[in-house]
Amino acid sequence: MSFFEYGVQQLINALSIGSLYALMAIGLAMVFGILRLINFAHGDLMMVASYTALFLLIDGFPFLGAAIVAVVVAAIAGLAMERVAYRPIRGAPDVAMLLTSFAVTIVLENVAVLTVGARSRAFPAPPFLSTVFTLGNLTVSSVNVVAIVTTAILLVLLTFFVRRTDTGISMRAAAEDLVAAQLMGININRVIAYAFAIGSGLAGVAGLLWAAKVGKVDPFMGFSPVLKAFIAAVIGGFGTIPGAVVGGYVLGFLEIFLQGILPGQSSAYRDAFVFGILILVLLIRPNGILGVQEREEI
Amino acid sequence: MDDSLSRPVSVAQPTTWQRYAGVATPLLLLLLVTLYIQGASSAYIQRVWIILGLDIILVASLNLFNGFTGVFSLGHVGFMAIGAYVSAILTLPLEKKAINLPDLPAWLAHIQLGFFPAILIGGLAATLVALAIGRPVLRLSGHYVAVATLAFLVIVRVILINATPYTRGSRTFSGTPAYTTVWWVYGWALVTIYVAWRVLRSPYGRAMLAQREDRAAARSVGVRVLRSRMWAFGISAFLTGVAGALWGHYILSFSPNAFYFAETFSIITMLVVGGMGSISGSVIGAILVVLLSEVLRNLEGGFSLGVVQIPPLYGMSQILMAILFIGILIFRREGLLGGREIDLTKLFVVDYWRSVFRRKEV
Amino acid sequence: MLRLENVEVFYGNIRALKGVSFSVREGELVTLIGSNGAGKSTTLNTIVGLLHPRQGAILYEDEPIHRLSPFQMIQRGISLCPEGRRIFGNLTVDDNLRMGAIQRRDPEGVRQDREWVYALFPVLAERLHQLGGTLSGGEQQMLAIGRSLMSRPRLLLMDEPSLGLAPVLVQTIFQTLQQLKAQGTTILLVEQNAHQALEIADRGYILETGRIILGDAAATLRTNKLVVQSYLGG
Repeated sequence: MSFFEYGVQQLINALSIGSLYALMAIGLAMVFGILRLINFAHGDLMMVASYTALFLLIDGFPFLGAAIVAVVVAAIAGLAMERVAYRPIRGAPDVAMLLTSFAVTIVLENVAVLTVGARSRAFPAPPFLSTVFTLGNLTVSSVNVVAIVTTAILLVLLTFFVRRTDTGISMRAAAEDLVAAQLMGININRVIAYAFAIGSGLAGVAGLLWAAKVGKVDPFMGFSPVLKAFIAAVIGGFGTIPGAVVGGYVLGFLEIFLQGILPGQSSAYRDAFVFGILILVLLIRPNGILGVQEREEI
Repeated sequence: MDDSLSRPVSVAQPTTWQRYAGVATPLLLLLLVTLYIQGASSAYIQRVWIILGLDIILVASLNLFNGFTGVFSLGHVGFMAIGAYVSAILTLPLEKKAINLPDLPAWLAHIQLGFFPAILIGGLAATLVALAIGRPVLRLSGHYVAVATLAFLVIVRVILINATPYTRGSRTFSGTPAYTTVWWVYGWALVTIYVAWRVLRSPYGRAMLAQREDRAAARSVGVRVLRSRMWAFGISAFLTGVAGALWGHYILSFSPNAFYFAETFSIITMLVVGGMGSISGSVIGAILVVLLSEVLRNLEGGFSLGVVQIPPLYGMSQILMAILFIGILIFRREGLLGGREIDLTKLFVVDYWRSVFRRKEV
Repeated sequence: MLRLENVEVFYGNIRALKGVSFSVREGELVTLIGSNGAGKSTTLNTIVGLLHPRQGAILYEDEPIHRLSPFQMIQRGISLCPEGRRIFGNLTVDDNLRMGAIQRRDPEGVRQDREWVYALFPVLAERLHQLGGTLSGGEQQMLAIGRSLMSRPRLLLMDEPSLGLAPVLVQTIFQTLQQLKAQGTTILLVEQNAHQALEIADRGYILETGRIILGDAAATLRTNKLVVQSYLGG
């Protein structure tokens, strides 16, 4: 394989993993932007979506139908989460909200263990998500391409939504200044509901792609991705959608890069490096690489 | 939350013997209960009693940091892991070392320490790591500290899983000598409570409380926020490491999975239930959560309610604990004690009883 | 049109408004004068529903409104232009105005009003697609006023519009307020700049540490000894 081909191969890998992180990070950032809530339970929506799809597929649904239902179910789960757990604690200290989302994670994962069991199950991805094709010396799995393309399409739609529609602009306004947004007559509850629904739907899409990529689902599958998405959001400057997207791709490239350069044994430590970078970013640019400098010094 | 400090003292100042009595009563009670449990109770009750003592150390030392500085650490279980692994490696008998950890470097392969020095080294190792990461991390504010310490926890886990020569990786670490007894546990629990108490009452403790209320005000009176946070972090990490060591020598076989999210959440639940910033709250939070989760865990296996047979629902106890936790955050965010302390000294002051009864007459 | 009756507002245990009563009649420009911390902004925030009184009532066209939330105020035609402008720095000038009209369902009317705001502040029309955050202080204030007008309020509440602006700009802003009044908008103006506020107002109230201590026609207040001493620097 030539150097160029190697590069293209790695580029595809980085873009596809970065796409998933970006999809996840968007939801975290939308909610954080408005509520200052770090929604740890966001990762569990991946699990909700992929189990929904799994059961529909087992019942013989066509994949596309199952996927759409799964994403809608994830969105509804996100809305329910907000209504039941986060609305009552809105405006509480940041840490109290963060801990609440921890508890929501515990509830969701244990409910999953109770209902579907703790063991992982194979995810019956359709052929267009599970074939590997070769282009010259390149081997590309179709799920990576689908992930990149799907994410690109969703990003275009999302950009249109937040820049052109009343609700989208309201969402950005509310993220910037909640009080001023209220004074305009923006219905905050509605905007927050939209943020949860859209973010959760995107998490659902990410969950399906993840399940297809890994080939299996389990109740704890969202744990590692949400931590990564969370780093992505911090890298991009928590609370903005473009930041989350950029952060997602930066993290994707970083991981593939680390995997490439870390010698043999030590590549297992990749995640330690990645989380070390999180701490570094927090220190050097607490508002992310895109964020404005407004560091809160102690 | 510090209205207990500023509230006018309605009763006479306690005399020295009253103060001693206030401290001695719970100690005596503890001694009697422990002796009783040791002598008369089932192995199960003895086990719960030891776990409770360990949890008290973990919660009180976490509270020493979180409660007094007002910033939140989600990474303390990482210190617990360090304490557990360090002291387990140091005390592992040489012949077991040769079998379980064949790739250990020579200097470690040929030492075998006693329990007490191993605990201390476990705690000190946690402190060293805490001081190393504290310098960057504790500069951050608010929930960024929570985020960064969570990242620390993930890093510790990755290292534990990959440092196979020392930890056997994700496989179970076994062969740890069973040194931990109820006396060791409650001895350290008392040390932890005493230290937390002293830290709270020391000039540094006051500094920490001050900066928790208002950073600008604290800085203006010359409190160095980073330094006071570092102190609290280091001491707290030491005690958490000690708890980890004691835990390891009690459980005997463990893997990195023991030191992750579930354990973190369980300790935080106890902290939040008892109330941040209150040492007696930590004790009460630990007691309530341990007892409640034991009860729930016993019910998980299924039971019959008259005619209705409740099927086994494994995981239900966790769900109920988490719901309880959310409920407390929503309805009583300051926890049961709300940062106040239970002061038993009062019980020995006659005026206190007079005021209690007089209030009842009204 | 608007009547406050014995309104008491608390921040925790601190009583910020201690029984405030006053009224604004249709078509009037009324000013509320007071020094820092007297409770002026608290009063306005309470009227629009950001804060709720513990005691007393707020009546708008004889309907009690003190339990409603801010977006219901907009529906009733009350709009607050907040202290410190608080425009959306990350949105374009045009989108800022769009947010001001978020509740309206008459696109044609919104379009006309947008033209009207741009006519009122031509400088904004030049910066249509610029981000709000890149405007100068005076332009931001104009944008904030324009944004409040986009809901087509019948009662406009203004919180310190002159704060931090050069005297020339203050002139412009105050002229605009007079213009708005002439077009039939009722205005409640909160100001520290008592001199100019009393110039253009019909009536005024003096607020001191959470209490209304004086209320009269603006012309009378301008000559009141206490007002002259405390607020007009005479």
